[in-house]
Amino acid sequence: MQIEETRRGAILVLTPVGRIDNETGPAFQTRLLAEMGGGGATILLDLSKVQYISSAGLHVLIAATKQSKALNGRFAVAALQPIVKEIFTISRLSHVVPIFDDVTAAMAAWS
Amino acid sequence: MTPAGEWGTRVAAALRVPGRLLALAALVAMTVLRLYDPPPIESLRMRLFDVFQRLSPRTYVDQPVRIVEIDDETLRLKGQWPWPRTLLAELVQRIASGGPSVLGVDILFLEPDRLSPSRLAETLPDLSKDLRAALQSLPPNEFKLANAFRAVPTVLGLGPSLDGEKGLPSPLRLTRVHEFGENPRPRLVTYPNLLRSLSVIAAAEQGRGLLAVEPETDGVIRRVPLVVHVDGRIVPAVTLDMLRVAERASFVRVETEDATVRQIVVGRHQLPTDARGRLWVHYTAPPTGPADPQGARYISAAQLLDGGYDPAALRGALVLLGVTGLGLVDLKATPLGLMQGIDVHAQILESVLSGGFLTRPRQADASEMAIIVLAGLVVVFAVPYRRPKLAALPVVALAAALLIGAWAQYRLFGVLIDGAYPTLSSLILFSVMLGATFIAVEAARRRLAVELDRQRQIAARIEGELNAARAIQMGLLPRRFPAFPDRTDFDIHALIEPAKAVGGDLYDFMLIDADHLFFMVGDVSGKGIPAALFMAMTKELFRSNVVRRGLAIDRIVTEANAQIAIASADLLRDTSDMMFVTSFVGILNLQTGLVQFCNAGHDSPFVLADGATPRQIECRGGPPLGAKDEFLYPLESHRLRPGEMLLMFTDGVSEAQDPLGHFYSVAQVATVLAMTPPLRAAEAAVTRLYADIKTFSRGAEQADDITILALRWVGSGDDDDASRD
Repeated sequence: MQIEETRRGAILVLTPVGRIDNETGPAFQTRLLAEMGGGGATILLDLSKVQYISSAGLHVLIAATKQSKALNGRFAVAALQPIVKEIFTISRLSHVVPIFDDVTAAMAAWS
Repeated sequence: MTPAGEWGTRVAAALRVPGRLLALAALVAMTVLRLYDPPPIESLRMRLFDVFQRLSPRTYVDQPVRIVEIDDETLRLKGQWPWPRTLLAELVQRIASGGPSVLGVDILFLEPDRLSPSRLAETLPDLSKDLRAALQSLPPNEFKLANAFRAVPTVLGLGPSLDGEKGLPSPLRLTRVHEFGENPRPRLVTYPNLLRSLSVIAAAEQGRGLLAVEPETDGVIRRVPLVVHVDGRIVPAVTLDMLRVAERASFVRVETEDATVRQIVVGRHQLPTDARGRLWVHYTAPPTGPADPQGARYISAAQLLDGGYDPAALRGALVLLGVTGLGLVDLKATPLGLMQGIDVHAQILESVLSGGFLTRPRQADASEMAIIVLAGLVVVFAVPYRRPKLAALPVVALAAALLIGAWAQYRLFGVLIDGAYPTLSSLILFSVMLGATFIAVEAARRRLAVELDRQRQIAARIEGELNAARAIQMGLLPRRFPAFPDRTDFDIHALIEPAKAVGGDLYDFMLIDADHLFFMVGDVSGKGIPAALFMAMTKELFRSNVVRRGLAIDRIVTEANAQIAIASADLLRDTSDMMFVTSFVGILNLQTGLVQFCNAGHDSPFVLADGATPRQIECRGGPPLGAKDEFLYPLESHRLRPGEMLLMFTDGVSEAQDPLGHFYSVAQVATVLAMTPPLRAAEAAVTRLYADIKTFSRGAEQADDITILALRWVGSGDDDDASRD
C-alpha cells in the first residue's frame, strides 16, 4: 500500500491510499509504530484516500492509538470516507481514536 | 593479514575443494611410480610406441641390404640342413663373385663338419685302406669354407653363452672399440661368455659380431644392443661390425655422457642409442605379397647357386646370409608382427643407411614426469568440477593433446615420447576428482534432504499443534445442541466455522439461574495462537465476572474491558502488538423476554419476528473491549416478544468473500433472514444463514472465522408475567 507523507510543522501527516485490511495491515502497522519511534510524535492519519478498513485495519488504528498514548504522543484520524465512517460507527471507535472532519480541522485543534 | 598468511588462506581454500587433497596425493604417487618405472608402466609406454610404429611404419626405400636366405626351396633343391660346408663354401663363392661390401653370416660353425673327408673316413668303417688313406689326406671342408670367406669381407656371428666359467675362447680376435667418456660397461647388456665358430673358419673373418637379438620383458623386440659387455670386453653386434667393415673402419667408438651411452660412431655413421647402447628399430611393415618392393631384399640361395640370380646385383651391398627354412628358425615378436632374427638385422642396417632412426631423447623420462605433473595440476585445479558435464571436455581435450603431441613427435621427428602414461595418470586424477565431487554433491544432497525432512516434520508438528490448539479452543465453547433439552421456553443454537488459521471468534451462553440466560458473541482482533489465547481468556473472564456480578451486565462488561485492556497493554509492551475484542453481551430474562445488553464495538444483532422485516437493534454501545483502558459501557435493553429471535454474528459473516472479492455484507444477512416461511427455530436460522454464505462464497477460501448465534424466546405463553420485571 502506498502511503503519502507530508510534514506540517511538528505534525506528520500520513495519507494511506487504498484499503487497510489483512494484506496491507501488518506492514502499515509496522510503519506507523516506527514513525512513533522514541515517543512524543504527533501523527495525523489522513483517511481521505482509504475506501475500506477491515477488522485488521481497525486493529492497526487501535494499536497505534495505544502505542501513541504509551509514548506520550498524539494520534488522530481525519477525513473518513462514508464506508469507513460506517465501520467506525459500528466499532464505536470514536471512543478510542480522535476523529476530525478533515486535516485542517485537526491542525486547528492541535495548534 | 600478511601476504604470506593471505596466500596460505587461499591455498587452504583451494585444497578444500572436494577430492583435491586425495588427487594431489594420487599425483605424487603416479609420479613416483613413473620414477621407478615398473614393468607394467614401461610396457604401457612401449605399447604406445608399438601402436605408433603400426600406424606409421618406416617407408621401405630400396637400400643395398640383401638377405641371402637358405629357404625352404633351397633346402628342397640342395638337401637337408646342415649342409656340407663345401656346399656352403660354393654359395659364399657365388656371393663373393658379386663383390658385396660385406657379408654378415647369421650361422655359427661350432663343430667340425661331419661330412669332411677325414671325418667321413672315420664314420665309414667298411672303407678300403687306400680309400680311407686317400680321404684322410684330403683337407677338411672347413678349409674350403674359410677360403671362400677370404674372398669377401666377412663378418662372422658370435653367439651368447651362459657359461661364464671357461673365460673367453682363446685366441679370440675382437673388434677394437674406442671408448669416449666414462666406462659404459655397467650400463651395457652383459653376457657371461660367447660362442664362436671354429678357429679355422674364424681365421678368415674380417669382423665378428653378436647375433643375439633379445626381447624386452614382454617378449617384443624393440631395441637391439649395438654393443654388449662380455667379461670386461665390449663386443659389437653383427650389424655394427658389418657397418664397420663396409666402411673399411678399424674400430667402432662408444660415446658416453653422464655414465650412459649417448651414441655409437662407426665410420661416417652416428648411431643414437639408449642409455644401454641399444638402438630403437624402426620397422617397415611386413611384405604384403610377391609384388611388394621389399621382395628385393630377399634372394633365395638356390637361385644364386643355380644361376637364377646374377651375383653382380650384390655389388657394394651389405649381404646377410642365414637360414630361413621353416622349422629351422625361431620367429621373433616385433611391434609389426613375427619376424626372423635375420630380418631384424636387415631392418637395422636399412635404418642406418637411410638415416631413419627412432630416438628417445636423454631427458625423455624427466620431460614425461614434468608432463605428468603439469597435466595432473591442470586436471586437479583448472577443471570446473561443479559442472561435471563440462568438466569432461577439458580433460578429454587434454588427453587428446597428450596423445596427439606424442604422435606428432614420432611422426615428424622419429622421437619417442610417452603420451600414454600421462594420459592414464590424468584420467585417474580426473576420476578421483569426479568421484569426490559426486560424493560431495551426493552428501550435500543428502544433507539437504535431511534438512527438508526436518522442516517437513517441524511444519507437520506446528500444524498438529495448531490443530490441537484449534480443538482445545473449540472444546471451550458449548457445542452440544440442543443445549437445554428440558427447556421449552427458549431455544438457542450456535455455529462457529474457523478459518484455516487459528482465529479468535467466540460465543458463549449459560444459565445464571432458572430465569436468566447469559449469552455473548465476540471477535478477538488478530489471528493465530495469540488470538486463540486471548479468546480463551475473554471467555473465562466473562464467566467469572458473571459468577461474581450476577445480573449487572454493564458492570460485567466494564470490568471485562478493564481486564482485557491490562492484558492488551502487557502484550503491547512485550510484543509491540495488542489485542482487542468486539463483543455483544447480554442477559435474557426468560420470564419477561427482556434483553439487557452491552455492545462493545460489535455489529448489532438482528431481531426476527414473524411477519416483520428483520432489523438490527439500535444501540449506543462502546468501543471494543481492551481498546480503551477505562470505559463505562452503557446498560441497554430490548424487550423480545414471545417467538422473537435474536441473531448475532461476527464480521466473518459480513466480510465473507466470493472468488471476485465481493463482500457478503450485513444487508445480505437481512435479506436471507427475511425469507419465508419464517424461521421458527434457532437452528434453522443459523443453518439457513450459513448455507447462504457458503453458496455465496463459491469455494473461495474463508479469510476469517464465521460465528452465528441465534436465541429465540418462546416465553411461557402467560403474557401477564410480561410486566413482572
